[in-house]
Amino acid sequence: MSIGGTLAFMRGVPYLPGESSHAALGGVSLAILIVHLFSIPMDPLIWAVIFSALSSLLVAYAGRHGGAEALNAALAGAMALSLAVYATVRAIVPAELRALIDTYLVSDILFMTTLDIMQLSLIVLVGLLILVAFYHELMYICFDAEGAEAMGLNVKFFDYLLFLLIGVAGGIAAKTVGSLLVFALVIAPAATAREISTSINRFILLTFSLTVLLGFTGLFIALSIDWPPSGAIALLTSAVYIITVIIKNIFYR
Amino acid sequence: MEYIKFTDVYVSINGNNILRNITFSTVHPTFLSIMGPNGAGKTTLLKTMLGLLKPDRGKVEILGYNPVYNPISIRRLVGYVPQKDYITRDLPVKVKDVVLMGILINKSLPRYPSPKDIENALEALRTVEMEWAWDKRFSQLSGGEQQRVLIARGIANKPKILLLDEPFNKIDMSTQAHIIEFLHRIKSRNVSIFIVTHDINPISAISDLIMILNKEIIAIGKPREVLRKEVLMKVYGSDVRIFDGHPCPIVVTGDTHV
Ligand SMILES: Nc1ncnc2c1ncn2[C@@H]1O[C@H](COP(=O)(O)OP(=O)(O)O)[C@@H](O)[C@H]1O
Ligand SMILES: [Mg+2]
Repeated sequence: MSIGGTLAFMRGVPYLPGESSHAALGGVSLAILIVHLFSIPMDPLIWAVIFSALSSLLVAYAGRHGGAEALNAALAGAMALSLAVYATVRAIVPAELRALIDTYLVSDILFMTTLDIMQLSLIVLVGLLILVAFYHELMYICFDAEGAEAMGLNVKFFDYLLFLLIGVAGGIAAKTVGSLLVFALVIAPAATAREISTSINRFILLTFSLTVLLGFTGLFIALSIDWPPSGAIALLTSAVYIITVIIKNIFYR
Repeated sequence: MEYIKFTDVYVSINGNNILRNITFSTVHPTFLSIMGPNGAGKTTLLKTMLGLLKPDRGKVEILGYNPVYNPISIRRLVGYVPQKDYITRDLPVKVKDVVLMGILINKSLPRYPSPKDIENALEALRTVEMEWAWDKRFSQLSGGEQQRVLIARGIANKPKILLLDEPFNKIDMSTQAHIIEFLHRIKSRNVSIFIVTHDINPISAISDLIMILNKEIIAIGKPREVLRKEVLMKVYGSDVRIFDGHPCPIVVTGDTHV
């Protein structure tokens, strides 16, 4: 998940995890609507991940065919659409399903089921395997896509793969922390880590450690002073980012 | 078959014709400078040599290989230094990662460097006198140093032909002189050099051939034959000025910043 944030920064699309987790919200809403209307059993988590991944690929497609401007338009469009779907479905379905949808907006890690955790672990594991296998390729296309292509790399394939990974990370994040918190727990730690890291490995490692550390600290603070965990985590990660930037600007000018 | 040859090549991008009627041939090794205004198709010509763009018609032969039909051989033969403007500069990659990229990308999975690969990468850096930067972060280097590292990446695989796209953009004069010296060194190892530029003056003296390109080849030949007012006027209009210089004439166009 935090690796999704790192990748997004490397590829120059820092807001993508946020967008794709909102798409997950849209996907979950749709799945739940279908469950409600036709009583076809559908697992919301799977649909969350599928939708976030699809929306991320869509953004990648827009970026490849229309450049940075189209990419940003697609980002905004996909986000607006999924929020619209979310709002509509939320208004239609009965209260207990409404509550289920809302766990993807502001989730509570403490309420996840064992099945959820197993599914998530599996997805994360597959994602990590892909990342380890194609680490060099993904780094090259982030660094210099044109040069990589000239040297014979299938840039198109790896670019889509990269967006897919970021999208899946967004979907997972929607389930674990809720899409509202993706900025706080995925993007902010990556932004902080980028300020202070000197190599890719350290960047990834730092993002990961920051996410875990700040996530648990936030949770701990929340539980001890009886605050909502989401709020505490968001406050903490944003504060750490801002302080890092300030310190860096004072001492390393 | 030691030559590079284009025969009646036409290239389009998204249905728009960019290059037309490109016909020339050079011996190998050679030092060819390609000059032309913005949008003349210089980058397009290099990408056609690399096989990244396919000609609509015509034939490209590079030391006996056709980029369209023999992409793998072409990749081994041709090194490329893309225009630096497109490179993401704030990515925290190290110099060694950048140079090894040029070697690893042609290996099969898993792409981990062998001691031989590392020796080759170091040797490439030595050629551009950047060995000291091995463990440095790419984005911390100056523009000129970054360009030298990119050249090292281009030669790390020991290509027979090196293509460089505007390597002197935003680079100070003394670094320019250094890079020219390195290119000299590279050519003396039997490597052909094709270099794209909109300012010919720094490299006219070491060019075996100069090509003036503006969608089609306006002229190609020895520096003294090409750098003449009648020729350059066809591309740059009447405001082009030529000063007698030694060993080559000095060209001042609207593009040149003097
Ligand atoms: N990806 C592209 N899509 C559409 N047109 C392009 C693309 N790349 C280049 N062109 C057009 O092709 C022409 C030649 O481009 P290029 O070879 O980059 O010129 P140069 O390198 O000489 O400045 C320009 O008119 C440019 O607008
Ligand atoms: Mg160009």
